[in-house]
Amino acid sequence: MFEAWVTVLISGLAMGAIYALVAGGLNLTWGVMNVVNMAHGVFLMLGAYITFMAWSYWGINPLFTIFLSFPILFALGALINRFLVRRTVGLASMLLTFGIFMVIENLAVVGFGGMYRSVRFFTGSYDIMGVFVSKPRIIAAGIAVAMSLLTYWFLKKTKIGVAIRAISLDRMMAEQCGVNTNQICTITFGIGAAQPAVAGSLMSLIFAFNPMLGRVFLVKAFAIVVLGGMGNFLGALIGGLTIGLVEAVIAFSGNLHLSEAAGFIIIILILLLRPSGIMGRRQ
Amino acid sequence: MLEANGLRICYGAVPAVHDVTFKVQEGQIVSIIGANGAGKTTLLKAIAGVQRISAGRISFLGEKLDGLPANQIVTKGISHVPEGRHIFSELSVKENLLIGAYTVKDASEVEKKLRSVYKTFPILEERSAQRGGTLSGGEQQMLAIARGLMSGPRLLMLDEPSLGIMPTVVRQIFDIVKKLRSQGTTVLLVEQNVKKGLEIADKAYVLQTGRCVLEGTGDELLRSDMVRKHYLGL
Amino acid sequence: MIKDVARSLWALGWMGGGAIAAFVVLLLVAPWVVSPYVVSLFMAMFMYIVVCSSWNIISGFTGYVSFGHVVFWGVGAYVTAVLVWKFNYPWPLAVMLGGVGSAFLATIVSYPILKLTGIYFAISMLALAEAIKILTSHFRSVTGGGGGIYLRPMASLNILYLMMGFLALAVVLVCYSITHTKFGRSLLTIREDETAAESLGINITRRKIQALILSGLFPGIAGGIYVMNVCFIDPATAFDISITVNIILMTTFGGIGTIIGPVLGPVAFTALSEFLWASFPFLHRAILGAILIAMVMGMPNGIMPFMVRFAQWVGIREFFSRRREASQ
Ligand SMILES: Nc1ncnc2c1ncn2[C@@H]1O[C@H](COP(=O)(O)OP(=O)(O)O)[C@@H](O)[C@H]1O
Ligand SMILES: [Mg+2]
Repeated sequence: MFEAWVTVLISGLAMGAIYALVAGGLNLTWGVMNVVNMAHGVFLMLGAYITFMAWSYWGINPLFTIFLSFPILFALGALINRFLVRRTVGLASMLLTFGIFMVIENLAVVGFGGMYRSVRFFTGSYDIMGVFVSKPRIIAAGIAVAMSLLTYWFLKKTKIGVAIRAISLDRMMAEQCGVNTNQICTITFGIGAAQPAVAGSLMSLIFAFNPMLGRVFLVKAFAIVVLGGMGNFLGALIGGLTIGLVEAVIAFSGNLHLSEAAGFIIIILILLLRPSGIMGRRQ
Repeated sequence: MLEANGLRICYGAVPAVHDVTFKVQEGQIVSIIGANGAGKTTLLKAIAGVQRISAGRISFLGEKLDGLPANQIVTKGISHVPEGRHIFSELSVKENLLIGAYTVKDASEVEKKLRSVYKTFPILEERSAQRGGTLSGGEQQMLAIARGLMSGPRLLMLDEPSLGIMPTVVRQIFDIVKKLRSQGTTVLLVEQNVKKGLEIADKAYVLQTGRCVLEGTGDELLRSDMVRKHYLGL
Repeated sequence: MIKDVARSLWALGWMGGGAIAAFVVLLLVAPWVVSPYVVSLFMAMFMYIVVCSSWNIISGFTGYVSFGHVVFWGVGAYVTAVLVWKFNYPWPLAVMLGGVGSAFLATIVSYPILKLTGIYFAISMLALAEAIKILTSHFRSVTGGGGGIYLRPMASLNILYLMMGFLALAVVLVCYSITHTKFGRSLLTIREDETAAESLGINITRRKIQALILSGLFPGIAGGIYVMNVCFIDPATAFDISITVNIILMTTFGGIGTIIGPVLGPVAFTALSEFLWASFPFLHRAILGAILIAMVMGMPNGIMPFMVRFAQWVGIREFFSRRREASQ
C-alpha cells in the first residue's frame, strides 16, 4: 500500500512538472503582455505532432525532437504575435487567440487526421524497491523541470529576461528606458508558444494523442497560473506540481472524473479566496 | 540642443498643451514651472515619445525627434525620469539600473556607468540587492534619476523630483542636479516647487493652462511681479 | 418599474408594433410554407437570439464578459432532460423548470463570482462551465454520465419551433424594456464606472446579481426546448465552449451592448455557418476562426457602425439613430 502511494505521488508530480511547463508559457504571455492565450493548447498539440513526425519519418530520437519543437513553435509564436496578437490585450486577446485555436486545430485535423498517434519509444518502468515509476513519465518530467528552471534562469539572469520582467511591471517605463518593447514581446510570445510545444513533445512519449490534445489544457493551464499567481514565474512551477499531485491522488482514490474537475474547482476557489494566487504578491 | 516649436498635444480631442515653443541650450539647467495641470508632464511625455503631438515640431541636435518610438529617443541621448518615479517595484535596485543601461551595448561601459552612479548615490550601492519597491520615497527618486543616467544621456528630463520627498533629501537631489550640469549633462527640469525650480535654473519658462506665458533666466523670473504674485504668494 | 416597461412598450409605436405583428405572422405561417429542415434552421437561429440577448444583459449592458455562458444553456437542457427521463414530468413543465434550474445556478454562483472583474470573471465562468461538465459526467445515476441521455420524441418540431420563436421575441422585448428602466440604466452605469455607480447610490452588488440571474434564466429555457427537439444530450454538447464562443462572436459581430446586435448576429451567422457547412464541410471551423480573428482585428465594435454608415449613405438614418439611442 505504501509503495502504491509513493508511486502515485511520483507519477502525479511527474505529470505536474509537464503541466508546469504548459502553464509557464501561458503565465509569461499573460503576466508580461496581458494576453490571455487560449491557443496554448494547440501549440502543445503541434509540439506532440512534431515529435511524432520526426520520430516516425526520420527516426530521430524523440528526446532530440525538442530541439525542433522549441524553435519551430518559437517562430510560429513570434509570427502570430507580430501579425495578430500585438495590439490586443485582455478580453479581446482571449477571443483572438481562440480564433487562432480554431484555425490551427481544424487545419491539424485536416492535415494529420483525427486518429490517435503515439510515440512508443521509452517503455516499461523502473522498479526502485517496490516503487514502480514509468520510464517515459520520469524522463519527460526531468526534462520538463529542467526546461522550467532554464526559463527561470533566463528571466532572472539575462538582459532580455530582465527586460521581460520590467515590461511585465511597467511597459511604458521599460520603453522609456530604451527597451524595444514590441520586439521583446514578440520574443516573449515566442517563448510562450515554445514552452507548451516542448511539453507536448514530452507528452507524446507518455500517452496517445490526436489533434484535440490541447483541449484538456485549455482551462487546466489557467488553473495552474491562477494558483501560482499570475505573472509569478516560480508560482507556475509550484502550481503545476500541486495540480498534478492533487489530480493523481483523487484519481487514485478511485475517482477519475473528480480528478479532472479538481483543476477547475481550484481555479474558482483560488479566485474567490485569494485572487493573487498562493505565491502572488500583487494582483 | 533641444528645440520645440509650436507644440500642440491633445488627450483625445481635448488639447492639454497649445502652441508651446521653447529651447534648451547645451550645458544649462532649464526649468519649466507652472501650477498643477498646466501641461508640464504632458510636454515631457511628448519629448520622451510616449505622447503623440498633434502639431508642431521637436528637434534634438538638429534632428527631428517627434514620431520616433520612445525606445529610440533614448538612443538619441535623452533620458526621461517621469513623474511618480515609476520604479520597477519587483526588480532589484541593481536590475533597475541595468534596465536603465539597456541601450548600452558594451558590458564594461555598463560596469563603468554603474560605478559612477553608485559614487553619486552611495545609498543605492548599499541597497543594490533590495527590491525597488521597498525603498523609501527619496531613495526611489534617487534610483529613478540614477536609472535615467545609466544610458549616459546628454539631456536628462526630470519631472517633479521633489514631489512628496523630505526637504533634506530634496536639497541633496538639487545639489546632485547642479553637479550633473557641471559634469556636462544638460537638464530639463519640471517643478511645481517654483522657488526651488527657478533658483537652480539658467533659463526658465512659465506654463499656464497649456500656454507658455513667460520666459527668462531663473533670476529674472524670480524677480518678476507675475511670478512673485501668482506662484510665490508675495 | 412596471410602469416604465409598459411605457417603453407603448413607445414602440405603430412601427414597432407592426414589426412585432409581422414577425408573429411570419413565425406562424412559416411551418406551412418551408421545409422542416428550414424550420429547424430557424429554430437554431431563435435559440442563438435567446442566448446572445441573454449574454448581452450581463456582458454587454453590465460589462461582465462571460466566457462560460453555455453553462446556463447546458444546465437548462440537463434539468429538462432529467426531469422527463427520470421523473416523467410533462415536458412543457420540465422546459420551464430548465429555466428555473439555470437561474438557480446563476443565483448561487452570482454573489462570489461577481466580485471578480474583467479577465478573472471571464475565466472563472469558463472554469465553472468546465467543472459542471465534468461533474455532470461524474454523477452518473442522476445524469446518465458521459454517455448522455436519450429521450423518446414527445413534442413536434413545429410546437418547439414556435416556443423558441416566442421565447426569442420575449427576450428581445425584455432587453428592450430593461434599457428603459432604472434597472437597465444602473447596469449601464455599472459598466461605465462601478465606483461612480456606487457613489450615485446604486446598489451595485444587487443589480449585478439580478442581471446575472436574468441572463441565466432564458438560456436555460432555450436549452430545455433544444433538448426536447433533438432528444439527446451529453456533457460534451451541453457544455461545449464553442457555444460560448459562438455567442460572443455573434453578439460582437451584431453589436455588443445593443438591442439589435444579438438579433442581427445570429441571423447572419446561422446563414453563414449553414453555407460554410455545406461548402466547406472539413474547414468550416477554421473559416469561422478566421472570421473571429478578422473581427477582433478589424471591427471591434461589430457590424453596427458599418450598417449605420451605410444607412446614412442611403438616407434612412432616422431609423437607425432612433434604435441606437434606445440601445444606449
Ligand atoms: N492621460 C490623460 N488623459 C486625459 N487628460 C489628461 C491626461 N493626463 C493629463 N491630462 C490633462 O492634461 C492637462 C495637463 O496635465 P499634466 O501635463 O499632467 O499637467 P502638470 O504636469 O503640469 O500638472 C490636465 O488638464 C490634465 O487633466
Ligand atoms: Mg505633472
